[in-house]
Amino acid sequence: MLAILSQRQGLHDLAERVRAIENRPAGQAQEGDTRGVPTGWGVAWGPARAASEGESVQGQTGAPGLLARGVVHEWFGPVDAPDAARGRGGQSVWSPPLCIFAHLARRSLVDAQSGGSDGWVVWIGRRCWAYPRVLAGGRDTDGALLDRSVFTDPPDDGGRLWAIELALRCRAVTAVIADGRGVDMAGSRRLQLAAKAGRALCLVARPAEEMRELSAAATRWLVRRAPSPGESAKESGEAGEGGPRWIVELLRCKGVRPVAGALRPVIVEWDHAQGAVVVPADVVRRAGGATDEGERGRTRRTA
Amino acid sequence: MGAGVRPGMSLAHARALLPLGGVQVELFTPERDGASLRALAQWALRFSPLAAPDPPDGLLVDISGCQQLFRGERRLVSQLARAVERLGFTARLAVAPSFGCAWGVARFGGEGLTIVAEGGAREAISSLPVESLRLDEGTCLALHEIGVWRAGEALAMPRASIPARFGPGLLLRLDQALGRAPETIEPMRPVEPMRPVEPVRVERVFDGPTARLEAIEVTVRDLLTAMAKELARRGSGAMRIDIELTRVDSEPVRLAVILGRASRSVHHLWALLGPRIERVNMGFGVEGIAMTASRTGRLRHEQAECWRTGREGGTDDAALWELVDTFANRFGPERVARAEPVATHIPERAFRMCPMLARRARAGEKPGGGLAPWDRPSLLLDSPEPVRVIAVTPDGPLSRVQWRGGEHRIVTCTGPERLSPEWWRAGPDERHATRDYFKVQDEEGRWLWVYRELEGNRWFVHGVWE
Repeated sequence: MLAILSQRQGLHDLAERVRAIENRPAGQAQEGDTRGVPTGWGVAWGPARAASEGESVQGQTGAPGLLARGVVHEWFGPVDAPDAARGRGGQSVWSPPLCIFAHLARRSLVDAQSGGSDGWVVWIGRRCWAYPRVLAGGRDTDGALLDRSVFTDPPDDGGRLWAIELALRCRAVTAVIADGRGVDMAGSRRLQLAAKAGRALCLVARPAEEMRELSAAATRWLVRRAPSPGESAKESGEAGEGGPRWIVELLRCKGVRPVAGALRPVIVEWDHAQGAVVVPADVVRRAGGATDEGERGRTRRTA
Repeated sequence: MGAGVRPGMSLAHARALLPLGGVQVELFTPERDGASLRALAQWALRFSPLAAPDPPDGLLVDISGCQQLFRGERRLVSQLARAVERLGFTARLAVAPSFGCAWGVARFGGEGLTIVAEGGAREAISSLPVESLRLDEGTCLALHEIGVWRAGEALAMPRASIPARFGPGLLLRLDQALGRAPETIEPMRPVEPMRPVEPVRVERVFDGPTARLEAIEVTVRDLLTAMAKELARRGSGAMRIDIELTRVDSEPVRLAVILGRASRSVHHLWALLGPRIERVNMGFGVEGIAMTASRTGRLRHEQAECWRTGREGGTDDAALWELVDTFANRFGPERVARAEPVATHIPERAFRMCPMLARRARAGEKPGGGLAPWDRPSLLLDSPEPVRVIAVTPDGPLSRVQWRGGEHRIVTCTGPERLSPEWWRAGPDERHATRDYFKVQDEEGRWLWVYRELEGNRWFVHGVWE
């Protein structure tokens, strides 16, 4: 009886150790690397929710306002606002949510620079090349993202997958933004492994009609278009900056038990003056604004 | 010369001798003459390895042994004479067994070319004035005082008494003219022509032709190692590597690898080369492999690290350039690009995609500066797509846009932003009509960037915010 107990104890220890080894991100020595990239939208998710999510979210993937490095994030859309399931937006003319990508790439670059290294952003696939004016930033930024962006256009699907994998493994790359159309389960697993080996933020865009495809990605996000009050509203002083708006919804987050309403969809808006995607002011007000996260919320309250 | 103008003559005298306007006055600059003479001596090196300027007006060329190359002494000298004439000089030439003799004969002998045969030096100079012996003025005067005018008369004087009466110079000059005393000249050193640095080239030849991929791979890695070693010795890295595989009975295979930044890392170079080598058609077998680093760049020595202390910016950049090289060698250099802003307000021309490999690392280069904070879509269509629009009033805001088979009801419309063509562009195809841009939102939240061409009143969609 005693022997069995100790055996069981030993097995338990072994399992613990295996789990620890599996969870340890490969090739990540620095503390800062395991951290995620702040999205700046944490305000909409709220700090109370984050606490209730616990450390599993924090360590693994999309803690509110934080996008983890070293895993694959899949982005679907943008699809039209009323009904995402119809998948109307995803015909041959699909194009990825480039504004959001530009914003996240800039955040990732800033994050890397605060960590003491000059990162690079690699854009893979012609479809994913944002118009460089968006990368050059608004009044506030100095064009660092444009300067440190590399665009590549692989001629075939195999080459694209290979290029994404290679870029993910490169230690000089801080963010990889890739066209992930037609990547199957095996391919996405390859990408996930490559992402784990590196420390890049990996954003893979996929058309909405591939939402039912299997994938090894850690998170899946859906971007829906949302009507914006527009410039007129801004002038009348109602709300918002009057830029394009989207609803970003977390469809899946690996390793996290779905909690009803834990990560509710967040409305974001493109602010061209800042060159960033922010949570619009009216949404902040509606959410109560009682949060410490996100400088945007803070500035709004002081204003 | 024919009119009797001589060196040392006064200008007025020369003007009197020559017809009106026949005198051209130029300042005498000994330095320029000397430089010109040296250049001539340099040029004369094509006739003989030993040529020396003899200021102020002479050129000494040692042609002994060189006649073989010109099929005879006479041909050599006549060729030299013609060439000097072509250069615009009037020259008197003499060939003699000794420099001293040739000096005197050229200046005081006959016009044109004189050739003194071997052993004829005494005879050749005996009829010349004593000045032909290259004596200083005092010695000449002393000789004249005792009635010695010709070199032959000086030669006839008893040798023993000469040093005591005229100093050692005369005897030396006499001996040099006859070839009894050695004479040294200071020849021009040939200017080394600028030669490009020999590219690093390594080569292996197989014992017999082989079609085994493993053997070739091992050899290529071996060559890469050898090349890296040589590059490290020179402190440079390869920017382009050419490989030639000689095959039996067929054309050699040539491969080229282009790098964005100099590298001598065997690992990286092999990563670029390996996949190419695998696909080579080896035919009946490869006989040898030659590898040349045809373009190299400076690469400073890097301290080897025993322990990883931390990452530096340099190593991170190196990692990126390795990635870029790998992409460019698989997809083609033009498919790996960076965006460079162009100083224009025309949206489709505001950025240029430049291949990364074509980029020259310029210090202080700062793209992104001077970019106006315009609101531009995140996706600019490659070519504007024509649309049909409906507006309630002719110049009022849009109410509907038909685009890509769907009808979009417009809820917000801002604009116009007028973009005029660049009048300084030359061709009409480079200029487009004046455009009025509108930023519109349909009821589903899709934002479009549409414009109207003022000429023709046509509407297009140019971009989308996605």
